[in-house]
Amino acid sequence: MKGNMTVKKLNRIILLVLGVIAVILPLLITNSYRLYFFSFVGIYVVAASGLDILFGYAGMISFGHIAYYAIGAYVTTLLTSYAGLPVMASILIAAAVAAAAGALVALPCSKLKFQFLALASIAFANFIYQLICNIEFLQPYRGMKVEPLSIFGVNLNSDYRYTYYFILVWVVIALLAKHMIVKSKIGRAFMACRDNTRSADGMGINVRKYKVMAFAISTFYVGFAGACAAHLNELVVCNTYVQANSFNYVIMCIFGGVNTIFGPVIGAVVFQFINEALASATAWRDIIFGGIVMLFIAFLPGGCMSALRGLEEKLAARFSLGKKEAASKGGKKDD
Amino acid sequence: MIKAENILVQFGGISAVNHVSIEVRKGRITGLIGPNGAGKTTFFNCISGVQNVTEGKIYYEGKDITNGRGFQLCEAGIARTYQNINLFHSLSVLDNALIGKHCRTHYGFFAALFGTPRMRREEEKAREDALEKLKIVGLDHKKDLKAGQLPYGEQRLLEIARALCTEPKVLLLDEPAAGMNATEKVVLNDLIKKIASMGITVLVIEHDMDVIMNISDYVYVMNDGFLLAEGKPEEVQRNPEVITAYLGGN
Repeated sequence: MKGNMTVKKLNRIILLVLGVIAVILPLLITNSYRLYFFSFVGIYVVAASGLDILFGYAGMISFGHIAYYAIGAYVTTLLTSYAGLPVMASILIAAAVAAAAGALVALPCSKLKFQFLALASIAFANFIYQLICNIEFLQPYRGMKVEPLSIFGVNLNSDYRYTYYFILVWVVIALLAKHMIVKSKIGRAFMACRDNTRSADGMGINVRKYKVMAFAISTFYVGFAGACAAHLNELVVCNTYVQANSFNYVIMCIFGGVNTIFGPVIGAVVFQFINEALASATAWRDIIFGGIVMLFIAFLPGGCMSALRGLEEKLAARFSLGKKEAASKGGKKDD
Repeated sequence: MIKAENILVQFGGISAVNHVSIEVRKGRITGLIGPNGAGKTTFFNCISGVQNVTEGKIYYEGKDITNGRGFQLCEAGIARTYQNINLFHSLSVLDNALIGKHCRTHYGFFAALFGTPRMRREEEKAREDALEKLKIVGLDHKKDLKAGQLPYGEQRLLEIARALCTEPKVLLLDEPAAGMNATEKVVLNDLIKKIASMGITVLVIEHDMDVIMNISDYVYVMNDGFLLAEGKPEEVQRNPEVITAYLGGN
């Protein structure tokens, strides 16, 4: 028990430090490209967290989440450019549309076994990609201009510090929402379906309903991320949305560790940094990512989070041991 | 309480359960025994919504529940344990029990998202109740362990606790004593009697004669998919056909 308490305390300290760093980051960095980059990290944190709800908690895989990212991006583009909706409202609607698409896909797919679900998700991503590429109206190859990220008519992209804070707020909201969902009966139902569908059914859980729900929540996150990214880039081009880019989210989850709140956060950050460092060496990029993923799966299947946890527990054990020794020594003195 | 009439289950022409009729009376412990492969578990699966019947009807409290779906039957008050343990292995003992409370907590998605007072109240209540059920089977002190870390016998007890969490009116136990040693079996017998004394109707499958004769009020015997005999435990024990089925012979 005592050991647990210290781990909790340690977690709080780490969280506080990271939170402070995240908040003061724009004060340390003035380069506007870097701030744009960090805003993008935030967007990927949201997307990876979304995939984790599906992959880590509900035990379903998707290699096609880029499709929902695309749906989010194009829906918000059309809504702001043609219907004249305010950007924030449009982003939320776009995320909801992506969630609806996710639920629709999940309805037939929730019965599929793991590997077949993976195939179906790839097929769907290719379907959406081809659809985008072949609709003239969307100017797929030349790209379509998108309204800049703005709230109440204020253009946030004019200074990427504002963009960064806007994304940061939504990252916090997304993580809090995920935390609330996974620790509730809904999260438990997801994990029950993941561990054992048969007895989940026997325990009164409507397996199909919860699988569809997991898909919808997950795709809402990804759709939201996609919509934000479109307004951040102020441009949507079809080749952003090739199916292979779906693997990025999976890699982030594997890096960081699934079935945790902060695993995908770490994964997204690490991924973006490596990606940025290797931006000019695309071939190397894939080789290195491939290698890292294989190493992680072989030696650290729990991702960075499981390594961190092990470290924390060791530290906590040392702390509580130190305290106990001190206490017993103190006791002896009293005697 | 549960009435199964003329149940026939066929797998590609082979009958696993052959026109079996059984009645589980309220407040009693009913036993279902038979050698391996007699069709007991298949029959059980029909009642709990895992297996569809080819023919026949199942009634629960007078309502037709034939080929109902598992989660709906659970909500209606039929809970079960499994012969091959089906726990949520990567989750804690307490979480396993809490999943049992799933159909008895009613807050929705948005209540969970915003952590409304109603959600917190229901969660608190579910937690208390889950701990109480764990206490009944004697696992409350292990609530933070992973279910997969428990020894075999305790995993069986956890399955029972999890089933009790669904607040069942009928509890179906599929070979609860399998893999248990003699001491554990005694504890289990007491536990089943205790559950019955809580007003829960019990239907238990066993092929261990000692256990079933000890606790049951009424016993059905199955062999080769057919119902072989029924009656009070003492009567069944003296039945020559049952003795033949169990001991083989001429």
